[in-house]
Amino acid sequence: MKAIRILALGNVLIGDDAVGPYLLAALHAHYHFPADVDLVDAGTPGFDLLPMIEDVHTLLLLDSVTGPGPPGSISVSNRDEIIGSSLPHRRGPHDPSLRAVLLEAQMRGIGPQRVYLIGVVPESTHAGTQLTPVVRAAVPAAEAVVVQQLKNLGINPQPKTPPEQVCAWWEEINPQNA
Amino acid sequence: MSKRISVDPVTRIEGHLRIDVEVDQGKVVNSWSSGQMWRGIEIILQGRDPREAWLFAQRICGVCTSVHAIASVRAVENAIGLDIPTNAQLIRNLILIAHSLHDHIVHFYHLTALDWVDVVSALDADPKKTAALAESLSEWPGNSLNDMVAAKKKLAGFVGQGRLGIFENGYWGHAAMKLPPEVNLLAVAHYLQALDYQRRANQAVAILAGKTPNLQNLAVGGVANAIDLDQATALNMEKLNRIRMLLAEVGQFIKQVYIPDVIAIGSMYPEWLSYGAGVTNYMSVPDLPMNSKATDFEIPGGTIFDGDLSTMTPIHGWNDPRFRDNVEECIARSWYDGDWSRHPYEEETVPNYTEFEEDGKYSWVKSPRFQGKPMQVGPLAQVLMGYTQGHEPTKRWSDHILTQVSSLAGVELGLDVLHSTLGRNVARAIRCAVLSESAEQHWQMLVDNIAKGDTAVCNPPVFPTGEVRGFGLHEAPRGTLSHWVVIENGVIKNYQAVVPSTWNAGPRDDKNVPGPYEASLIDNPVADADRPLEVLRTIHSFDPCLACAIHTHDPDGTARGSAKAR
Repeated sequence: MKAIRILALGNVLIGDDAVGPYLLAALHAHYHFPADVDLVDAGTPGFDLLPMIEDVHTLLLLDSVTGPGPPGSISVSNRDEIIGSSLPHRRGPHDPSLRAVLLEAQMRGIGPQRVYLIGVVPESTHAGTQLTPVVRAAVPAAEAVVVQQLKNLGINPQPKTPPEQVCAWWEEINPQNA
Repeated sequence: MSKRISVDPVTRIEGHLRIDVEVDQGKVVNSWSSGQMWRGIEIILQGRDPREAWLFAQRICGVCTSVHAIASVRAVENAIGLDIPTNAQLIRNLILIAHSLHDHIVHFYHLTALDWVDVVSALDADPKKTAALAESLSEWPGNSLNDMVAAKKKLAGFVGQGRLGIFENGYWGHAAMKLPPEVNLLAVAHYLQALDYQRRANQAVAILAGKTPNLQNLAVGGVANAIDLDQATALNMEKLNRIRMLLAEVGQFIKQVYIPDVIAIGSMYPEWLSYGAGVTNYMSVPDLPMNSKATDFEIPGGTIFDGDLSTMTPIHGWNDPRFRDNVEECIARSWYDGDWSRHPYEEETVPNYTEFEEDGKYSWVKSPRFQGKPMQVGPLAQVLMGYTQGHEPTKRWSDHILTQVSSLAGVELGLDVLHSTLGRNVARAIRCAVLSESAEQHWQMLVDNIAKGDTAVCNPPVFPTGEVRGFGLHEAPRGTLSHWVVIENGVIKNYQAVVPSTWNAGPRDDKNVPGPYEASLIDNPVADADRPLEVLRTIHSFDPCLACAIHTHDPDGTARGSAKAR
């Protein structure tokens, strides 16, 4: 059982949808976290998200969101806001949305007590392995929001000095081929 | 007067599939299947190192990451003629088997069961009668009166709060729902239990692969697992025993819960053994290689045309030129530049989006063809190949299920009823039972091989100067998957993934011949055009997974325009 899990969602192959994994990589490069906090890059797991959230007390999700605000805007929502609206019909194994997975956990009477979603509005989710400049520029502010959220939860991550390089492996083309 | 229905929910993670049907006098008379998302992996991979292609390829789908990872390394190995160690074959096989067990359980209970099971009706069930019925079907310990009381209580609790939670989006009370309340309650109880067993299958994948989704242990040339039976950090006997135990528990769930449920539910919907055949050309590829050189396979592959089992022709291994030379993709009706049909090695991927034009281009999905014909792929194709080639476990499980359904439904049902919506779900259960037995077999082969002192896991690749081409096959949960790679001087020059749902969900081709999804919907009944449950039943029977990408969370829960206009 982890006290807090920081979990990134997003597909690194479609532009700004990588903002969650990128933000996670940035946090990993810039801060030390205590042992009862872990960082997980979940990709776009659909139903497979369920086991990743069942064994934590508090869940901090990092994801791209459709709003509010223009590209690069940062927002924080809680569980009630995420699951507040109605579910669409399921058609594929990808359909179980974040909302559906949280409801499934709720029905089973397990899962995180507290859920926060730190979202960044994307500019482009076209195929590609780079963030747009506006979203990349929003990452430091989004990191600060995550750190503040952790402080509110009584966790104080210490900055790494010097900070490490952000490892966004998907952005790089192997130099041998460049 | 016909009525047009468009089912196009754009949800957080999927949102790639749009189905349009025209309904006249209660029946589907025309249909279009449209993929609403462009994948783009081919372009992302050009210019990259073939040794890392699998890391990207496995991310074209968030759910079936392992299948793309393995097809990708197999394609690169095929291009350079690289054999992999026996341990690597068997470790990959165990990952693929465990992933399939997970995937099929999730499909049945969490994706399609609620098309047939009325959750609200379960509230009227008598738990005592439900438990009596359940215990007559199977020895499963989770069928007790206590379990049924608990499931009903849980459901009633949700309804009592004025919301159905996870069940709020079903077509409850629909005229096409026919199960008695007790069977509905039984299915709800098993829906909850299945969550635990799909997870166990995934745990087995994670022990071998480091993580799932998105494997960490692959390499072109083998796997990156260190094998040392005495080392705590390596793949050791303790981990191997844990895998065996997890897979045995999942196998018990399949045999004592999944199979009996398919029989019980299937026998109450016999009319669905006559709808939904669609394209009856079938294809599957051999998989689960038994040795280093992949000359012998546990699961046979082949082709069948026009539903005629006597036309079955085997596909021989992973180098069969009949497979390699007869696959083409057509883009006449897809949103790409041109209207060609080309071999995957020769394709170019130049997107050119126009609107949804039902007489023109209307999908991001291409139309794959084998010898110019659409092919249905998936568990049904695999079961038909196994049955016709005398694969003993496939035959035994097929006969068992068909005999039981015949006896409960009171009609004699032969193999030909599998060409149908319900048949695809039955075939998936057959495949799942067969693979749960393969799991034991391949686990034992791995342990025996290690016991002989063989701990080799990888043969390092060497890339020649000049151009080489290769294709990698995998018979995935949704059917035949092939990755095609052209490598020049050790760098990827071209890459194509021809995925199972492309075979099944593709649009019409240049000759206006519809794909399997489209053809399967024709003549389906639709009782209520505003609640097209029957359309979902047939589409779900293919286990649709167009995936591969988009997933932005939408706080308002409304459709995202940007996911469609791409």
